[in-house]
Amino acid sequence: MIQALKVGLKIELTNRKNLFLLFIVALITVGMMFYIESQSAGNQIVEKTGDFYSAQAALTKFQVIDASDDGDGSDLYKSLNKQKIAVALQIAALKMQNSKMYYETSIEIAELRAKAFDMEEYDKVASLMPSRIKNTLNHMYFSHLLKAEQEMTPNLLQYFPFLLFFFSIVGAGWYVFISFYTSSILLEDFEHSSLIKGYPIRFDQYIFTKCVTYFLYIIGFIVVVFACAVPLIFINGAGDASYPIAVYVGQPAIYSTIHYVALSISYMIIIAIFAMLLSIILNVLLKNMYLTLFVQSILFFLPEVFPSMISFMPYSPFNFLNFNKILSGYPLELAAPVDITMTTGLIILLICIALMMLVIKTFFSTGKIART
Amino acid sequence: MWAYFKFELVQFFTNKKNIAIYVLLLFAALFYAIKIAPAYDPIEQVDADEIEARYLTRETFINDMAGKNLRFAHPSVRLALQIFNELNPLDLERLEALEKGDLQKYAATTSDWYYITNSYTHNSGSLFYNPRYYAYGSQYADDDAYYAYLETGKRYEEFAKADYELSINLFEQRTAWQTIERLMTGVLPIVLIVCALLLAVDVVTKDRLHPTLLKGFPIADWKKLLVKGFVAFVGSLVLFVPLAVGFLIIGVQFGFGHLDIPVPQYIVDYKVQQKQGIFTVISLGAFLGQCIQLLLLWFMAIIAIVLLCSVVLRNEVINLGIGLVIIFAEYFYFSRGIGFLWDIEKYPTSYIQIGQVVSKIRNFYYNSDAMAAQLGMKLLAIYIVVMLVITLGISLNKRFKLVK
Repeated sequence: MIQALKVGLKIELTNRKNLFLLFIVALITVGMMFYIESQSAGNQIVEKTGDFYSAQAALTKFQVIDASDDGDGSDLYKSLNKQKIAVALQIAALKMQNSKMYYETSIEIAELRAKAFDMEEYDKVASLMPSRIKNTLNHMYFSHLLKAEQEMTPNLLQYFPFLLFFFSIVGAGWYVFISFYTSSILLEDFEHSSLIKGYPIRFDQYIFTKCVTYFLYIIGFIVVVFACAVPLIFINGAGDASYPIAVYVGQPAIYSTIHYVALSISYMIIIAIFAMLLSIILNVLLKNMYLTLFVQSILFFLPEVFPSMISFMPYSPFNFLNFNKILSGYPLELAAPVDITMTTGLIILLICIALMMLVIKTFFSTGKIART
Repeated sequence: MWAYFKFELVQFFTNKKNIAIYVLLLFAALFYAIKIAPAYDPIEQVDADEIEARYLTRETFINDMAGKNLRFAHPSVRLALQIFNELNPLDLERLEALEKGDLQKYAATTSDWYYITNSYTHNSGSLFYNPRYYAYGSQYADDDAYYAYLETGKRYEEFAKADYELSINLFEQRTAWQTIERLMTGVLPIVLIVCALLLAVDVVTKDRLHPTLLKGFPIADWKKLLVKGFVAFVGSLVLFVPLAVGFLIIGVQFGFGHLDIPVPQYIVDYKVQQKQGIFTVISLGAFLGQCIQLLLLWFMAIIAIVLLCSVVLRNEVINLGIGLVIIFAEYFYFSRGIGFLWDIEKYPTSYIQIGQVVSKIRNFYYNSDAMAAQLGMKLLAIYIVVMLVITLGISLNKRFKLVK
């Protein structure tokens, strides 16, 4: 078996496809830097200006009347006016680089919004306001920043802030990328089935060696991301590795950059194993790379396109593949909110992995591999 | 040659993956026609209730203020009165026209309404467009609404001159042809080009499964490559068949519309803008004609790159990866207003949003003067020729083997 592993590794190491995919990962990482640069992502002034316009637009839905505390406007109207004032102050604080004032006004806005959720006629302006969970997370985030006396708005093109940015959106593409990578995991060998028969090992052992070689490459992809970001240290510096990010894990919590990145990597590895095993099963059943890819993508995109499916089947493993969304509390924002967290997701994914392993072991170990 | 073409064609259309693509596209088209299209909820719609509510509120205000001494009133009161006095008669006319079913008159007054509303709202700082533009986090809501108001105004201006039958569905762009127009400025081009890529991706590499069979065709490799490219192109054209099914369903529901419907086109030239406003009009037929030209060129470009990659790198996954990188390359550098600084019009990849390029809203987004559908066609054509020449050049090499 060790021999088979060595042969497999040698084949995969020189496989042009794998090298190409490593290159693509590098390209995406570098492309992301251009994206940040061109979109001015993370530019808080621009984002908060959007907030200001939202508050302004929300006010247009109300008749203009006296908004002072004892005026005859509705509570929501008064609250919206206060929010608008606070956002204006927030933008001013940003422009003056006054971090303490910025955090304080941000907390004030979050508090005003938290109260507004239960007011009458809130539905009228709901589309212009952040969701309840997002607001709670914001409140917590800024409170933490204020307490820790962090500096304001990190430059996203520093090493750790960049990694945080990258790993906080990677969930949207990781599963698709891995299913793309593993979509032909067994098929290339089906084309030369006589070759497989040359290995004096059982079929399940053969699949195991395949998985190991693919797994090493998956680790390689993650390493490439870190490696490609290294130049940022020399250009802009390393940045703050303990900068916080607010996440939802059953309750709102604050994680540091390192913690979040480590967590993401562990999820990515579990998801990659899940995708790989699914690819193996689909490969044997469908015997076609593209059909495998289509089935995998459809399973992933269905809950993305139709969020009501998440409410309908909260424990489907495919809800958890975009783990960043789950960590941001997205399931709570749905029309029919469900309280699922990545901890549940991890358990479900692990159960599915175990089940698929069982299926592969019991049904696919006969050793008869048909030609495509 | 003919026999080989037929052989490739049969292989192409019996390929499991290709059939799956057509079937999936058919499902998507059906789903769109039955579920999504009826739920289309445009911001600028014909809504008598909305007009009436606005009209009544403003009329009350005008009546309240009538006869009062405004000398010491807040300036915004005077501004409001001025605006309301100008717009309320229009709103009343719109309501009456809707009630009587006089759509021609409705179109004429609505056009004026949009122009006047925009003139007060644009860059005013205190007045706002339709609140639905200001979703949470949209930074360019004002710009987008400005564009949309003037575009809608232009549309109605043209409808007012119409010599064909008008309908509410026509106003709200629900008819089948107009749905195609909306989709073309949206997601349809990318879907079709990705489908074309998926269809073409294994057109050369599949041969390694049956190398012996192919030796029966005594044809030069470069001819084989051309035939393969042509077959993939024919297959890409078949993509329109599933779409046609969706088209027919939408047509039965909301009417088909016709190809003389006006489509506003943004005017890029600043000097011309000053003379005749920021929009000119082309017919829907001309709009779709240009879209199709660009789309077909994109199909060819994608097939050409697949052929080249198949010859050089010989791996399907790499074909797919490179194709996707080309299709989605624009996402990495697209940014509002960036065309002012970078010559984005010189990259063929900037022309992927076909409908937006033809209606020139892409120029508005990029703030670019030079971007144009014709330039895009030229660039794509040059690109295709270069790719094909390289591919054929490699295949003419004596040591080259199509299948190893």
